[in-house]
Amino acid sequence: MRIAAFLAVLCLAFGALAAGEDHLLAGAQLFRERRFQEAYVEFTVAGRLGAGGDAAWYAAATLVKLQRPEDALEAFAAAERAAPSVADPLLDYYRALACYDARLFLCADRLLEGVGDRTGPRIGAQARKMRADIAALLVNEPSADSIDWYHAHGAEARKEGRHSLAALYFAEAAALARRRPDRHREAEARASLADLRKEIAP
Amino acid sequence: MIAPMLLAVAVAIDPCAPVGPAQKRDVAAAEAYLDVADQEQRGGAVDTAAAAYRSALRVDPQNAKARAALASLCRRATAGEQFGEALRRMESGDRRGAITLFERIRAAGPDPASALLEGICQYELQEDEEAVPLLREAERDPTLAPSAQLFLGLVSLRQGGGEEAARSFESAAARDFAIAPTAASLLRLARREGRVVFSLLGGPSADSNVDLAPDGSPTAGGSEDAAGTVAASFLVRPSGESGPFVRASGTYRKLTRFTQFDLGVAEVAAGWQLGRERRHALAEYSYDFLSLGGDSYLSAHRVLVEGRWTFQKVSLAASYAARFESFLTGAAAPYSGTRHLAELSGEWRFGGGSAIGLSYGAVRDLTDDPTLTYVEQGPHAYARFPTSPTLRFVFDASVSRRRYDEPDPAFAARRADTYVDGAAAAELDFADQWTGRFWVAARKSFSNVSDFAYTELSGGVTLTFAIGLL
Repeated sequence: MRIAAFLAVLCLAFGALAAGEDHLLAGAQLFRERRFQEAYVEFTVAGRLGAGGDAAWYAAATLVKLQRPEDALEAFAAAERAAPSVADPLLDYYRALACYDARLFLCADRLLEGVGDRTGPRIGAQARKMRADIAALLVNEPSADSIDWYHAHGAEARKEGRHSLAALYFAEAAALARRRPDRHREAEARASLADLRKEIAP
Repeated sequence: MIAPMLLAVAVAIDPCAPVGPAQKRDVAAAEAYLDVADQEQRGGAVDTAAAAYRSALRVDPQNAKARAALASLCRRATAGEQFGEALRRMESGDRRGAITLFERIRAAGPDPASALLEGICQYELQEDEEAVPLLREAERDPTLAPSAQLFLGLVSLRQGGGEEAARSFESAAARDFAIAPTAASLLRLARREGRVVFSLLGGPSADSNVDLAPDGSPTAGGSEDAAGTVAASFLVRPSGESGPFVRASGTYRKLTRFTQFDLGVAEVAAGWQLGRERRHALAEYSYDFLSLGGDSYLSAHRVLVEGRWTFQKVSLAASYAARFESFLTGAAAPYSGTRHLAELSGEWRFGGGSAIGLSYGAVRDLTDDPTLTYVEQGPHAYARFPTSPTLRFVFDASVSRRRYDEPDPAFAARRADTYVDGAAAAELDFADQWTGRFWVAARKSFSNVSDFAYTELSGGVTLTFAIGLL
């Protein structure tokens, strides 16, 4: 909702719509109406028609609403590369939701830590609740099987050419491995991560 | 996951809904929408793709690609809804309703999945002629071929084509490891079925009371004995399970001590079965000849009618037979006459061949000597449980009461007997055509005439070879 309000204010302030910004505004309106498929289409089209880096961030946030967390994480990573300055606590909150839905709990926790109350009391409370849930999930030492699961998903994402997503899975695997005395497959995760970062680097 | 609980589910996009044009045409935007739509469709996000195609068509109503893509998504959505409904009907047992919908889907274009499921519905309705072309159509899709072959094999098996069924099951098992166990079990069955079936049986057995002497038997040294049995049978049914058949069989049991009870049985039969095992009517004539201790003992003609009706898991059956018996020895001649046998049974069939059943049988033996005429009746319960594709257990129990019509002057009493029987068997398929069977049985006979009260325990092992030749 705050995305839509922000966009509306932005457009009113400038009084005119630059290339693609009519689609950005239409996307915001559709987002407000919870018509997320159409909102996603409008944000994506806005980006293609030159509305700026904001559109990619909003499209990524809309993918969270569409319950496509892995697509959202890829889209957030792409948006960050294209327009890092746009990031704000609300978008971090959506990104954290995507991490959480992709079972990337440490990723989600890291993002939520930065959200705090900067997005308002309602989302702040939700962020705190999520962090408490994550803490409960991670109270025990992670099993080797669960770390293997992240490796498998990382390898699968890498095979599909989704390198940003693969990097997130390997980073999670490495971080979880550090919570075990035997550091199960940590070196392997870090090696995969290093390889991927080279591939992702512009 | 928290997010799905926090967030409202997005409303699905209807690709079939009409698209209103925008105030002004925007070809550039239409191209951008189409790019997004194609990308989303490639990724499998059909709803988002539909939204993008709709937007493309809205800003450029003449855009043929958007129109065609949307029409295609509309067809898919409609077919998807119909497919879901057809599946629901199929699962609820409304096979006719499911067939109607599968046919509607297939009318719009080839759809191997619908062909397979429609074929299965037709098979389950015993409409094999309709099922076969549908299953053949599904078989052309590599992902559906194993399932289609499994059902083609079942159709062949039902029609008595054992060899053809075996080929289908072999092919299905080789292509899909998930259905391989089922296909392997059916393969075993197929190799024992066919239009011509030959079987051989042999094995040792033991009996505690060969001559059925009363408890506290006067037979010196008891009447327990060991025996060896061999049997062979030959079945010809040119049209398969449903149609005419002829059968011939022979059995010989050789005892080690009481050779006067060595038993030989020869039987020939001919009849007609209308329908398959699950629902059929059958009429049969048979002739039996028995020898006892090497001498001719019994010559009997029998007529039998039988019907079975199965709906879902419940199977009901009724049978009646009349046997016209002529005993060929002087001592047994008074037992000659006509024996009437009738039975009603109900069976609850679980999956995988398990079943429990209850029946009630009655026998009326009208002998030439009125003192030997009797009525016998009583219930019978049974259960069979496969514990694996190759191992089965069978249990039987029955109680029957026999009442003679007239007093027997020799005993100065009107005889009344009660028989309690129990039996258990384990059957193991060693190979496709070989089955081993271990069995035990017990009978306790109570009678108001002590000479007819006895106990009999028996058991044995048999090995059976059965092969479907055509």
